[in-house]
Amino acid sequence: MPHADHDHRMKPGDFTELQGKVRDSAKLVFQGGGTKNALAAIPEGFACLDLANWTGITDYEPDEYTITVRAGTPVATVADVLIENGQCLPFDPLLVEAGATIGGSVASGLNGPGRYRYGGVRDFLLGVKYLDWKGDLVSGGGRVVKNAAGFDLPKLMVGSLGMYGGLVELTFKVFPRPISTITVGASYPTYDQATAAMVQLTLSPLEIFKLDIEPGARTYTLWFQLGGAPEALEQQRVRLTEYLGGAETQDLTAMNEDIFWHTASEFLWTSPSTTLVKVPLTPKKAALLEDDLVESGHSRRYSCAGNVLWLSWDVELGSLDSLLSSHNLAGLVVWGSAKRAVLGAWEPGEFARRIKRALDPENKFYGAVKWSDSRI
Amino acid sequence: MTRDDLRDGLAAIYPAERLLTNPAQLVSYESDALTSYRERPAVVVLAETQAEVIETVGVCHALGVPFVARGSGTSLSGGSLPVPGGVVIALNRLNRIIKIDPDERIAIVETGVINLEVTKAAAPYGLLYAPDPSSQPICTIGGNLAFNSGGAHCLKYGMTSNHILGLRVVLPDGEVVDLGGESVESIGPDLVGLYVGSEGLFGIALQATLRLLPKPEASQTVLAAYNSLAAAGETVSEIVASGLVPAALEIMDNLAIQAAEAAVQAGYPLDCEGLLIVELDGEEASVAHDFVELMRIIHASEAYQVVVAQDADERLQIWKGRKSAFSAVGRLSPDYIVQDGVVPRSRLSEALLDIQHLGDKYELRVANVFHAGDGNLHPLILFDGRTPGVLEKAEQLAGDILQLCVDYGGSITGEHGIGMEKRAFMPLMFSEVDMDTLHTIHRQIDPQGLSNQGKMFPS
Repeated sequence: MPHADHDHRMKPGDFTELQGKVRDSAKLVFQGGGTKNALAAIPEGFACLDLANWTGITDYEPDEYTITVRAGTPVATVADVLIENGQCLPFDPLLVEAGATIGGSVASGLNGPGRYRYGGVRDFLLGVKYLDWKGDLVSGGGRVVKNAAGFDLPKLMVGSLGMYGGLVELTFKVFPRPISTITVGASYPTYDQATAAMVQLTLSPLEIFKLDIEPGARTYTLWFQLGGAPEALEQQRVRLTEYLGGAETQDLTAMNEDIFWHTASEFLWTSPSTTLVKVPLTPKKAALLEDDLVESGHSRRYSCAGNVLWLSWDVELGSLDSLLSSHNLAGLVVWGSAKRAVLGAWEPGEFARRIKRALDPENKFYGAVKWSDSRI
Repeated sequence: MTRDDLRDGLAAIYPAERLLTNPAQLVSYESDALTSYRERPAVVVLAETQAEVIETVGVCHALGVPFVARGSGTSLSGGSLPVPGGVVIALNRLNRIIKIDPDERIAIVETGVINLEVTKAAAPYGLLYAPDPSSQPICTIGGNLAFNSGGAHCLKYGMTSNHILGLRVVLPDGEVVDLGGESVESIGPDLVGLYVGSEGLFGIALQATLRLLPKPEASQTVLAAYNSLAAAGETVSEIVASGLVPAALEIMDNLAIQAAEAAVQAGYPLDCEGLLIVELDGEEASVAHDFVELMRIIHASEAYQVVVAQDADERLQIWKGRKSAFSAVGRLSPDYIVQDGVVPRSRLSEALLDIQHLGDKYELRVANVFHAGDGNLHPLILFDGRTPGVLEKAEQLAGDILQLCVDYGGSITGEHGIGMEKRAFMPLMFSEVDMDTLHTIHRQIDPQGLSNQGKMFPS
């Protein structure tokens, strides 16, 4: 019998139950670990299908660089298995220790600092199986590292927040982990100086895996991780100075390095009670936005070489909505109780609306997202 | 609709010299690189601006006339085959490089830009556009993104889709939408990801924002010759298992080597049954380290001859042979079909043996060139189309090879796309529910089914 607890959550453990639940529900939200609480919220009138029992690695071929996993599987479980074979998910999933699942990582489309090196979850998701609004199992993509057949449904699911269906099984491309890494911080008095050094690094041949900017009191620290074989890393470390413009640097010990990036990936630098917002941007747009943020005192980090801002906002959201709009930027609320999932300048557009109409004509999966435009 | 309505509608957009209707002018647009398919369009227009493309799509939509966007016509799957009586919108003149921004490492280009031109424009900043299909010197970005083209360096760098950040597209009914942006991060569903590889069925991409990468500082390119394909394949497995991520891992069989040598004298050993090409690239110290490891693996393998490119010219020469292999095979045979299936890397040797047996069964020669690192096969089936029944036999063999790829858990196309050529084979890979889903999406985007009509879906 499917297990149901007090809030009518269903936790199916086999596929027939899973499918039955989708067929029987008029309005449905799939839920993984709930680590992105703003995205996992269950709107009124929606049933919740909890994937806690829908777990397991169904196929792993280390020599193929591929792994296939049920959507409810904790990322930590997958990461542990990959590490045994010297491999990793190169998009560097977030909130792993907090309990993020593979399905939630895909649906939220969030990437950690390590996405800088080889790409985001969109670049490593090869295949997807999901239950559509009728409860039928749909497969898209494939299980090999290269495939160009059919529309790329796996990519469509990335960041979709479950609006097209319930993710059931996912196949990823994996890569070898770097044999060793070093993390170095370089401090600058202004954001512009930190960015200028960052740009030099992004154009350099150095094998950079992570590249974040951490604003502090009167200083901006450029943190970056280099990866590779130890001998090669030593030589790269020597070359660094030419790109850093004489900045004061600090090298983290191996232990501190782990703690440092763990803090970033688990958002330990901010309080879970604040609103956490993801803002995609570019280094130039980041510089303009930073001008407006610098006096505000909100905790924040720029990640992936100025391509994303993680902003912890502890006052009312209306002002952030206006600020983002004025910069023509949009933000996704990851933690917090915002009425909308998206703030700032964001419009789904006609293409998105047509895809939604095609895949979920009855809005069964509208659920977990409080889109600013409910028509999507 | 009459043909006059169409001609009047287009004549309002294009001057006479860019509106081709004369059969002698149309003939060169009748097919692409899949030359066994040929159809005559009613009109070819040579668009120079995005506005012209948008207006053309508007006219076609209003009159219910099918249209096909065409770049350089290098599709190997018949992806830009015209529709009889339809319009071909040629995009080669829609070729402005709008912006190269080295600080943000992006290029914004119109979709008629030639792939290699992007890398040339980015080179002064030490940047490159990574996707490098063999047709790189002539194929366009628009064609690349419509078919999610690959290339020799996909193992490390991914396919076209991994390098497109934003798009401006005209949907099949003339509506213009912007997808994605200039950041590598985004929110909401990955619509750019869905659009790329949609084979022209979602309208026409007008402009694309491309991700640029720093040009690798160092590279090492190694040729290793083996007495069997299996031994070359075994070495690929060893390299992959070692934790190295080579930029490229390619294998050619004897027939392909013979053809390439005859065409470009790349210096390949002619007696070799399996030739492995491995390329490492990246930061100098890293490449030096990885090279030692690579050579250890190759020397421990059954390679009977190993050549390391000593400079950029030698490296180019090695690649010239590989990249010319398809056209070179034309020297061995009046006609050929190139297939593009994928098998799991570890099943490569078995799959190649099966292909050899199938070739024997059909009494047709098959040359093999493949991206071994990705398990992406390119069997070239040689035949003489002048002999009655042989084309059909070659197509049957091609179909058997695709079935074999699916049976091994792979794909019917790694990088050439479905196009016209493989549309009948889609149901091998996708269930009825899967196909219904693809159809449903297609119908919502293009209810009249005008944009690149006939591609991807079985007729």
